[in-house]
Amino acid sequence: MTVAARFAAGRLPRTVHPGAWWLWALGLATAASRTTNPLLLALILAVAGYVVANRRSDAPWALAFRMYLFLGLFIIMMRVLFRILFGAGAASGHVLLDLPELPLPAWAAGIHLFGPVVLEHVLGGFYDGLRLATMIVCLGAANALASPKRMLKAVPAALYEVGAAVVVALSVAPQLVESVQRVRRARRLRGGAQRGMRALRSIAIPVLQDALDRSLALAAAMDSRGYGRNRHLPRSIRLLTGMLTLVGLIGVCVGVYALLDGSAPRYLGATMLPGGIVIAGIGFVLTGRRIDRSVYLPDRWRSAEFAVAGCGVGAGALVHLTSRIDAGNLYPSLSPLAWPELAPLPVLALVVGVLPAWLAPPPLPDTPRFGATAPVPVPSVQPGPAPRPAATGSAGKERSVR
Amino acid sequence: MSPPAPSTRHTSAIRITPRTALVLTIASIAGLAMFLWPLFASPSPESAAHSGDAPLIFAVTLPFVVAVVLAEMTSGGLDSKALAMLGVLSAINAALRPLGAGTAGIETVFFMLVLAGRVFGPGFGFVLGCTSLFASALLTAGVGPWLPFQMLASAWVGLGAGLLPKRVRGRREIVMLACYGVFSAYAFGFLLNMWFWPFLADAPGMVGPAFVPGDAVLDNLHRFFVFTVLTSTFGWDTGRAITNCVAIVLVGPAVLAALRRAARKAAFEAPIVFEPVERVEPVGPPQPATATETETETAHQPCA
Amino acid sequence: MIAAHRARIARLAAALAILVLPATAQLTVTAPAARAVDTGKGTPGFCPDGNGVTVIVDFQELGGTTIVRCAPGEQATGLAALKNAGMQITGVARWGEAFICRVEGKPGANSEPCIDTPPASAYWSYWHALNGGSWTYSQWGVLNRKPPIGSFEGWSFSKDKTETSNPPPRVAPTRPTPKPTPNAPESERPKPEQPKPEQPGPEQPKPQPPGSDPAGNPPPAGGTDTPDTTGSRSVDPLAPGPGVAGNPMEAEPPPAAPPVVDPSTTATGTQPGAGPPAAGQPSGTTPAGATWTGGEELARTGEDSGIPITTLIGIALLAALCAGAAFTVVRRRRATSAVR
Repeated sequence: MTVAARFAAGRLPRTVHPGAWWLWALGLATAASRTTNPLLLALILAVAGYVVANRRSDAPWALAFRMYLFLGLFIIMMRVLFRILFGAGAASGHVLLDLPELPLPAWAAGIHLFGPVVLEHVLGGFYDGLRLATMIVCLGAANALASPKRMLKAVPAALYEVGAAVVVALSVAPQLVESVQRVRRARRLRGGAQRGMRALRSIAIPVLQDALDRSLALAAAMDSRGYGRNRHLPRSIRLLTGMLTLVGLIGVCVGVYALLDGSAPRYLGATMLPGGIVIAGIGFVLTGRRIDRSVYLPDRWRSAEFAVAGCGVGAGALVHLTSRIDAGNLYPSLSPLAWPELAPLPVLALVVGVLPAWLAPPPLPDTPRFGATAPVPVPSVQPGPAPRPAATGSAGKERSVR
Repeated sequence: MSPPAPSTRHTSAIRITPRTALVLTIASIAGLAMFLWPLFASPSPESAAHSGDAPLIFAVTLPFVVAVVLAEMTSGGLDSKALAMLGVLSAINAALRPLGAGTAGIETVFFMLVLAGRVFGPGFGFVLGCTSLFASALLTAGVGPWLPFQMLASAWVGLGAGLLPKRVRGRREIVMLACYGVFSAYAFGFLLNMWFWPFLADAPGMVGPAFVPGDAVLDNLHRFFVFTVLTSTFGWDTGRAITNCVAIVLVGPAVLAALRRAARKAAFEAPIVFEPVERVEPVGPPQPATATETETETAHQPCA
Repeated sequence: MIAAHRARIARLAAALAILVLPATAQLTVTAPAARAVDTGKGTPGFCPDGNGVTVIVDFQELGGTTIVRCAPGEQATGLAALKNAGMQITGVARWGEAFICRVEGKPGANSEPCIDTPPASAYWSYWHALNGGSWTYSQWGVLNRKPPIGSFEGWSFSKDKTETSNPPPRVAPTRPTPKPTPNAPESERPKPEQPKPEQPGPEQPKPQPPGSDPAGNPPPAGGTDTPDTTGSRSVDPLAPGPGVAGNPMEAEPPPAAPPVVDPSTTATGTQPGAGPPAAGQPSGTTPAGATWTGGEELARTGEDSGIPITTLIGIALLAALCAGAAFTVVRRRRATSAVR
């Protein structure tokens, strides 16, 4: 294929591997964790929002990004509120509000509430809250961009069954909602009670029983299709994996203890924790060898995925580099109060971070909601009123029911 | 000779072998340490707690620990019936969660988890706790650093429900489960609050309800309780406890009956027996002795 | 299709141009004002009498001459004393100014981000002493103790030391008693080009452990380093008097101090040796051999020129990105509602 044709093919709408989006988001979050400059953090937020606005799909989970924005706002407000509440006598500086001080009794740990509200103090809380909020919003961007179903495809072999259970759950959940709607409609037709505990019980229990029966039918279907054929592992391998898992977990315990206890030598925590993880990881991988599965249409990492992941990692690395060579602008001073400034290197990091908005292929135009079928154009028998502008899936089902 | 009917009194959809129990115990100790570290952190500046690295390190380590435990629990192979039941019950739990009117990291409704753990056993309860929280996070796009902690805490709730004494039946069983529901709601709330306490409350000046590394455990606990009261998380925990209790009392018996019926039908512990097939002669219509009829007979004899 | 493609390329180019602009602008912007001693607060040198708290900042391995300044009047906390003496401090982002992370801009942001408490291998240790006493490592935080009036507050940077070997400030906490006769400043003009070897090492007594000043020498502090009085430091005029601007370039590092103090002293450039000696710029050398300065020459340069240009560029960038995102969201919503 010519270069132009390959480039055009790369621009075809498709979903990007979720791992690439997660790496990009983690790179941005790492960049955000290295600075308290509010300007830089706000720019990282804007970068995340811009990429999400451009590259998110139309699936319902993609609309959760604004929830993360609200969560970030909540965190910032809590931090600022805490600083205002508990700032008595903490710092001197520009006083914004002179609130009276309220000492709490001794049983409430002798805390002093309120007191003069100092700008530098509140700004410190704002900077810290903004940093945490930015990291959370970056994770929210990953949630909005990464498709959960494709993530489940990438589950390691040792967790194959658990992953299959989660796939079943994701498929059944929308059916449950429809089931509830169906039962409620039937009750309404029969003239049953609409509210109160009796209604709840007579809706919930049939739905539950229906779901459980459906699960047994699903199990029979899986069995008839050959699910659950494990490769036979010799006893020695099973013993080995058990030993590795145990030793690894014990190493993790010791590492956690060493990390928290300052008197333990530093090398203990630094070696036991990663060492325990590695050993348990080997046991984990060996456990997965009993599963003999083949993957239908495996998810490959193509150039767009590498580009997206590389941009995130690059942004994080550039900010990390800045913190090593010229970190002054990354931490604007609060005493004396100084305007936050931008340096060229962090801006370069931001440019690298926003590139996935163009480098990643555009999202699919209108992805059907998972679990629901596409609207089936069934001609309605009676010329009834136009169907409500409900979700396309349930509207289609309702039409076919009538 | 048909295989003996499995007892429905003590179903255990996912068996816990001694090896699994050992792995579970060690992982639970590690997980508990990663939850309660603010109480036991040392004050020296070298320790990770002081440098603020501890939450990040634990956020990376805990999902790995949870994955290892889950792999170990299913290493004996997960029955297709158990898997399907797991999936459906996770879906129910995940669908119930948004009804609890909570935001990420705060709220979940547990009563279904307690009831399912009671019927299907501790191992199933543990895995169900993990998968329902994970499915709920995927459905509501709530994957974040809080997720492994939520998964482990709710897995403990399911595990505990399965470990309750099995011989209690009838109304006493409902009362016991309701009490456990209240207790687990507060325990879950305590653990999750402890998790995000260092994130939210770091009032400077080392005063206020921020935790002080190295202080006596009781002092830090005191500060923690002040923090929970101030942020009214205690109120949310109480709300959750009341919801659990009311739901278990009202719909508990019916749900338990439905689950037990499904467990009986599933027959999780039915031993798989391969019996030799008794050869049965195909019985055809009575055969007259005439030749013509035999011809037609053979012509019409269905394929064996 | 081609038009849409071209439009997209044009948007990409515009966005990249907007993002690259500040990089070029940065090159033309002057560096921000350096943080330094605030001469509006506190007085240089030791407190003249018991009505104030003397603050001594010893940079140790960080480089820079020890600063001695006086915070006049009652001081409520150690932090207040530090600030009212005019020192520029930076707290940690986590605890605010409850934990002092940077004094006079050291250690720099490259080595210590000051987000959380610095490690025990490199932090500012907090000492206090009464007049004429000895330095005691403080058991309280900077906000949790009220320094008695007339006492001394010491800050000494501890690098790679154990709990028991934190170095106290190398200036003794003893207030010089005022001498009635004024001294003649002319005779003590500093010679900036004074070479270091003129101060023979053996003539400098080893730095005494704090408190063991040569007793009886009335003015252990203050004075200048004049070439002709190398051996007679004890009769140096005191500070704060009409002393002469010390020339830390000729700082004779106490033999025990690592030699890095000296080259970094010259390298810091905060004390241009040839500063005209003005009245009220005391500095000097203690008999222990530690040079100190009142910090007047470190005064902050004038600033307050409004919002710096990089901040404005950053705000413009932010607005552009938000507008782009909002525009995309609106366009998509319109497209999907048109389909439906």
